Amino acid sequence: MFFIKELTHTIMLHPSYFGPRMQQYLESKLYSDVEGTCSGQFGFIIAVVSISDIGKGMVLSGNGQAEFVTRYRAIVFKPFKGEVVDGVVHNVTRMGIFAEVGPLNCFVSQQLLHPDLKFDPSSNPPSYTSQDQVIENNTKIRIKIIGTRVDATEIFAIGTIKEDHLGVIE
Amino acid sequence: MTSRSFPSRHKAQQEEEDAAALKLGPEFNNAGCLLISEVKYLLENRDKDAPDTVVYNKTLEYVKTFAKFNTTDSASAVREILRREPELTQFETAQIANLCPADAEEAKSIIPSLVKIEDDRLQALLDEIQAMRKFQT
Repeated sequence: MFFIKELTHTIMLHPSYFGPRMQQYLESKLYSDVEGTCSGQFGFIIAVVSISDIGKGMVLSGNGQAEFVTRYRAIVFKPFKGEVVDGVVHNVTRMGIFAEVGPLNCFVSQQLLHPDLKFDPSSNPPSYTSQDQVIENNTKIRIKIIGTRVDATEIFAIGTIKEDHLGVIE
Repeated sequence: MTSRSFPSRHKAQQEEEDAAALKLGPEFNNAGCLLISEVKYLLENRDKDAPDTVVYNKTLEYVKTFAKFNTTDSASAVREILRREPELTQFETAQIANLCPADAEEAKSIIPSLVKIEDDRLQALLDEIQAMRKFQT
């Protein structure tokens, strides 16, 4: 699910940047620091929409750097257990299929596919086929997320399509 | 005695997040949800240059593929339709508009928390959204 969320980010600024163009520098630093990052707490931070407050700036005693606590609004993407999402298949293996849901990688184990879908290693590219369905690269599928794993810089999800109204979509 | 502390810790883990029961965790329970179509609009109409990150590019591709409503007018019209049902939460509104289920039974299967709404009323909303999709310019 995509959210719009108010977040904060702390920027440490070296004294050599104190001057007339400090504001622009802080803004571009915020954009480059947070956009495209991922944390377990907030999910993927996709893009900053607006900066609500760039912060007053506080010179730290001891090293002369200034600390700015900026508040900004951003588009974030966070997957939840039990959520149903659409995705695009980008890899098919004997173990199961890998789908991309925006920035998120989602794995659907072969055991969580419909029993009629059989792996066809001879096809090129590899695919899962049943009488009326084919799942191969770039097929759009509807997945239910059944679990997520959070790394330092990435989130992985596992999903199922073995329920009603899930699976290949047109 | 030490074994006693395990069940409670396990329980706390389990209660954390579950979209089927609308539990999104402390950070997101009251956060504003965005429709895929709205994300597409926001990303395409940025006044700044697009950042060249993997996350950004993948998301842009994804929202272009799955946006159900191609104008801001139709996206806000859908929100208007769904606002008439006061029991819907932000998350459910966004899920209905993103997945566009065709009938009430399908909607309740993919968004389990919708059980609180009667089939007839839900069906009327879904029909209206389907019609919107068909006739959007």
